Amino acid sequence: MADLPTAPPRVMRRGVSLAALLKLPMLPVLLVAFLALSVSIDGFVSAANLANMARLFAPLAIAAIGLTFVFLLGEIDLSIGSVLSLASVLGALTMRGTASVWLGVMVMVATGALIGALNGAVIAWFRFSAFVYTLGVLVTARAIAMLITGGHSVGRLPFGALRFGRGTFAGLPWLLWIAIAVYAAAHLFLRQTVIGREIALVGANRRAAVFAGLRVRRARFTGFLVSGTLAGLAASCIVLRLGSGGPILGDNILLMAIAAVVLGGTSVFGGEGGAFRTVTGALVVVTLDKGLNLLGLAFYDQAIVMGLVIVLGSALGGYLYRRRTGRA
Amino acid sequence: MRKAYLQIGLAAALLTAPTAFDAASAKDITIGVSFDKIEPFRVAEKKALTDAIEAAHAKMDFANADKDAQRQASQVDTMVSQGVSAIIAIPWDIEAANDLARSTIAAGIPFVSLDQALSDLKSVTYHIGGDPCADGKVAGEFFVKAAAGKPFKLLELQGGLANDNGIRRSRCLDDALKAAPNITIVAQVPTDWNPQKALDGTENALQAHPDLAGIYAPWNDALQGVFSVLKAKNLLLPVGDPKHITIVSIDGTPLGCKAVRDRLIDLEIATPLPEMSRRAVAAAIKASQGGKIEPQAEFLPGIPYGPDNVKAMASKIWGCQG
Repeated sequence: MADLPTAPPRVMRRGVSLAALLKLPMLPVLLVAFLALSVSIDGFVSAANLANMARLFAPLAIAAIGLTFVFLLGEIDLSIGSVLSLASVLGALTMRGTASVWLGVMVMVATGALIGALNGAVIAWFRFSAFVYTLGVLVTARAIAMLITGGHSVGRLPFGALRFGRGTFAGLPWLLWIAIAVYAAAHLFLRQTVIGREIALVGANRRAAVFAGLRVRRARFTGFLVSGTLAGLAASCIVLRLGSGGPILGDNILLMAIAAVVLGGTSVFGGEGGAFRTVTGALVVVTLDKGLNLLGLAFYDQAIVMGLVIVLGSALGGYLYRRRTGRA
Repeated sequence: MRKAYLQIGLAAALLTAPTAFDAASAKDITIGVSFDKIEPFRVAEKKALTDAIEAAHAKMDFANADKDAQRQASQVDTMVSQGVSAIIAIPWDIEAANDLARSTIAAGIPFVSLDQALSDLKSVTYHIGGDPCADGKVAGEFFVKAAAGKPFKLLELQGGLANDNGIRRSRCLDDALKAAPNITIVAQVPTDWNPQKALDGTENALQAHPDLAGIYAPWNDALQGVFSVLKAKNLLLPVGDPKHITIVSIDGTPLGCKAVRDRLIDLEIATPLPEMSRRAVAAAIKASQGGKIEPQAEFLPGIPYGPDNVKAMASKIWGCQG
């Protein structure tokens, strides 16, 4: 394999300074929205509401960070919602059958990893279109989850599941700790490891990556593997919080995760972005979702506001990116 | 690495800022209302609940979970943290809502489930809903009577199979039909309460079985898809026409009432929404004031009516008023 560039591209290298933090397209929006909602809604910054938001944020952030890997490759993984649903069903059945919470969690993560590995192998080695292939997995995985459960949710899990899902450690919900750990690992993986940097380089220009001797297939496989695995982990967070799994549990997560990734400023064309941006994107999604609801807006008003923020946020991100890189 | 820690710290800090909890005033009764979704029937339910809550001089704090169990849990948790007096919820996930109800009650706030029964009714303070089994059974018995012992091909559209109404409206129809071996269910089509899927299912069934004799539409919105297909095939004919396909539906919305008045469907089973809402609000208020709720669960059977008695029944059917 040819040597990697001695330093990451300019865009990646600059991404971690405080000045660059302010250039994150959604960070100012997030801060303004958070402050405005804190002032206008009684109890918005109460411990209970923040803990509640954190539990909503954790699975979304985890799934979205997984999707970020795929976006960095310039690809998409449409299957994460269905993978989450199937993993939640298998994990919940395991928990109920064995009374072991952690075995159930392992089954969920393993299910996500297995499907992610299959996605990655098929797309990287057999050159299937990621869009078409993961669309097929989306439909199939959901159908299998339906088949297993007959459409029903799987509840009545061991009490320990809910105790952990709603519990706290050092004042913070356990689920938030998991999200923070995932973010830290993903951030370090993308910045500090060869394969992590290769993922962004392959996404920036796959042809150039091939000529430079980068391990393109391995990078693509890894991206989808991480995406599937984190979908399984997100399923664990939701099951632990709700005390049930189900075949439609992940129906909404795909669009929310895409919104979080795009709002955070990761390019849908690949090569540009990262885990921290996705965290800010997920925070915007959760803050608006919760805040608009608490303001008493009707659901269609909330959807309009969310849609506008996604469109304007991605446009702002694109504009800032072009300014920073000098691209037309 | 130091910069990475900075980012990790910032991400965590955004969610762990110092807080000041403002408890809601305990003087007024505020009922937190959590809906699973918004669609025409739910809009009518929201109106009925709003009227009942206003009549009781209480306040309403409304949230729509938009078909997301996690969002519903979060919204209810927020209502609890804001100090509402009671929760009235239409649960999206009847398993997940068990633990939600238990944790709400553990926080000292009554949890009333409306319309959709949880898988474990002991989880809630009170449940009031329609009786999906009774409604399905009435529909099945009507088809048995309509078939009159002759071969009868029936299309069964199914609602959402992840919730109680969808499951039991289907299962109890099937139970009632067991008494009539002359009735053949040619297809059972899960629609997830989606009229488009009802349309597709009807189209496919009519293509495979042009001699289809009956259609079971277990919620009124399905009629849009059913009528669209029948109209395209010149089969949207009034009750009494020799080529009319027997249709039974459930809900009692204005759409269903109009279909009955136009003699396009044979039987409609109207869910008693205003009464359900009144009982839900009364129980929520009573429980919030420490009162004991008995019985813990009530299922109100729907009100059947058809083209021949719609005028006489209109005053009892919420969808026929106005």
